[in-house]
Amino acid sequence: MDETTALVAHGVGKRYRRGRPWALRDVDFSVPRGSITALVGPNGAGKSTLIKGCIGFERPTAGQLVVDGIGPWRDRGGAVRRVGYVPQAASLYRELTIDDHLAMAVAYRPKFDRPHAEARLRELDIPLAVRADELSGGQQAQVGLAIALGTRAPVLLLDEPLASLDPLARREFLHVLVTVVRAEGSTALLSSHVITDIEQACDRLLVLGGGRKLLDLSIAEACATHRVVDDDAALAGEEVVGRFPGPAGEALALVVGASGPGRSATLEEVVLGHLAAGRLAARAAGLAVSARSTGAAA
Amino acid sequence: MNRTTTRLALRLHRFEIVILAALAVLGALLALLVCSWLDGTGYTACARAMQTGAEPTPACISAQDAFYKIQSGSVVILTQVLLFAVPYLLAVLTGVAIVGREVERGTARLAWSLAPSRATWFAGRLLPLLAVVAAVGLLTGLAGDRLSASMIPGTNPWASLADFGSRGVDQAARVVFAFAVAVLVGAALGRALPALLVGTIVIFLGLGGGSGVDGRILASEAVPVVSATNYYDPANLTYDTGFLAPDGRFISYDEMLQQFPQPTDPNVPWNPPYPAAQRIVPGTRYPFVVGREVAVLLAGALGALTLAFALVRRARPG
Repeated sequence: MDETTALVAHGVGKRYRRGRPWALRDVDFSVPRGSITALVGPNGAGKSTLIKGCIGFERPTAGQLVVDGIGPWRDRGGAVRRVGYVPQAASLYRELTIDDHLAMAVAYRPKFDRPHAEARLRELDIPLAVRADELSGGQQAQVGLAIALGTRAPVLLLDEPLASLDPLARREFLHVLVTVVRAEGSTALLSSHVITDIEQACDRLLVLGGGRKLLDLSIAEACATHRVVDDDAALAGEEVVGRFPGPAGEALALVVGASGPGRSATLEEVVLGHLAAGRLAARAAGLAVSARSTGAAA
Repeated sequence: MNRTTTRLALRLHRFEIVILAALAVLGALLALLVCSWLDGTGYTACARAMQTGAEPTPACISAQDAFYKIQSGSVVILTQVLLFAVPYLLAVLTGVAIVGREVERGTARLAWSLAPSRATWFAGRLLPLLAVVAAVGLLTGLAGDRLSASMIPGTNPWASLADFGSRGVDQAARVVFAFAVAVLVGAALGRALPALLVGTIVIFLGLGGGSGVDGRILASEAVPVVSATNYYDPANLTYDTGFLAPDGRFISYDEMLQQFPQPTDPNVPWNPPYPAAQRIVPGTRYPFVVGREVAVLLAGALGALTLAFALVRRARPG
């Protein structure tokens, strides 16, 4: 890992129990410092597992994760100090006020930048004196983000924080995230299902499917290097990534290459094509496994 | 652990702490009230006199009636329930929640992502509640001591094994043990309600089994003492009555009857050759017995909390 990368995975695999399928398998990637990387994949793709591995909440079964130069499982305290984490569901204490949450953050992390977090919350008109359970879901997510930003950690891990938010709350959340990351040069890994949000906020894309990495490149590159073709006859000689239905149910194919038949792919189409390919590969792998086990049983 | 984490830990359990601590204080106040009623009957002096074989005077009989009327009244029962049940309730409710509720509600994700050291987090959550639980256990235990002294006239609670286990520092130690087991079960299950149910069963079995073992140890430590008047002293743990042989052996009634059969003529009195005796653990051994039990309970609590911390270190935050 060099100075330009904030987060690295080398052949990371995670299996929760022996005999169970792998939640993550042979995942390699690196996240450049100062970038906002979108982590995309269907439910069960291993996004949360990967993020939890980065903060030392999950131990990789295979491979190695490095966060800002630290192996999270070997030195969880060190990794936690380097990470600001926004969990999937707002994890605030409903009995405590927002002020209490900030006090708690200061108590656990003496370098916590409380004025910074307070300023973020003031900008959003979120009162400090109210209990967490009196806030809306969007406000709770903003509090979670403000706390993560207040840690002034070089790496931000955001595990689907937008999932339960309305469009306006999502937009506000992303605005705060992008502003702060750009201003402070920190690095963010944002897991999300919502492609429009990713387009607005992120500069890199990491797609997971069936526990494997399907795509890892910049968003500009992703759109520039893929095309969408809606005519099967035009696919001859093209490298087809995957097929998926269009908005009107038409059959679309995502192909690799900047020029050729069809049109430039949108980010959503790039993601859909790779996810479709990943699903096919996972099914094929599942069939191979079941064929092997049937053979073994016979 | 600092002032903020202490304040927040207590605030997270404010409802349970306020309600149950108030009930414990109420129990202690009721105990003092009941003691003043019992002492006010004047029966204690009568009881002492009657223990020496004096005939009860009409005033004594009247005092005795008043005393037993109070003793069997509903206020005393309520007081005993409050003093005994409330500290355990507080211990179990707060104990299972420390880790179990955090993992269940997902708040552990936030806390553990902020606290670089889970030991610091655990200590910050545990110690303030441990202090509250121990204080409530001690308050109710000492109130139980005072109540026991008035309920059994003429006894000194520090030299009496009456009500052993349900009063005094022993009760406080039992409550601390229950709290530690509840924390461990909460950490093991990661869910508050199942931990509450399982924790209650484990505590019941643990304390019940411990009392059984303690009872056997105490029985093996019982010594024979001559008891000329055959007076049963409630301060002692009395296991048997019989006779003391010249060689110091305790002889039961059955053995004595075998050695010296009762005369067949009912008009001839049976005069066993050895003095009447009781096999007892004297109440004066209370400080040693309670000290030993408190040490074992606190060691058990420490073990449970160490195990709980080992689970917290490895736990996924949900």
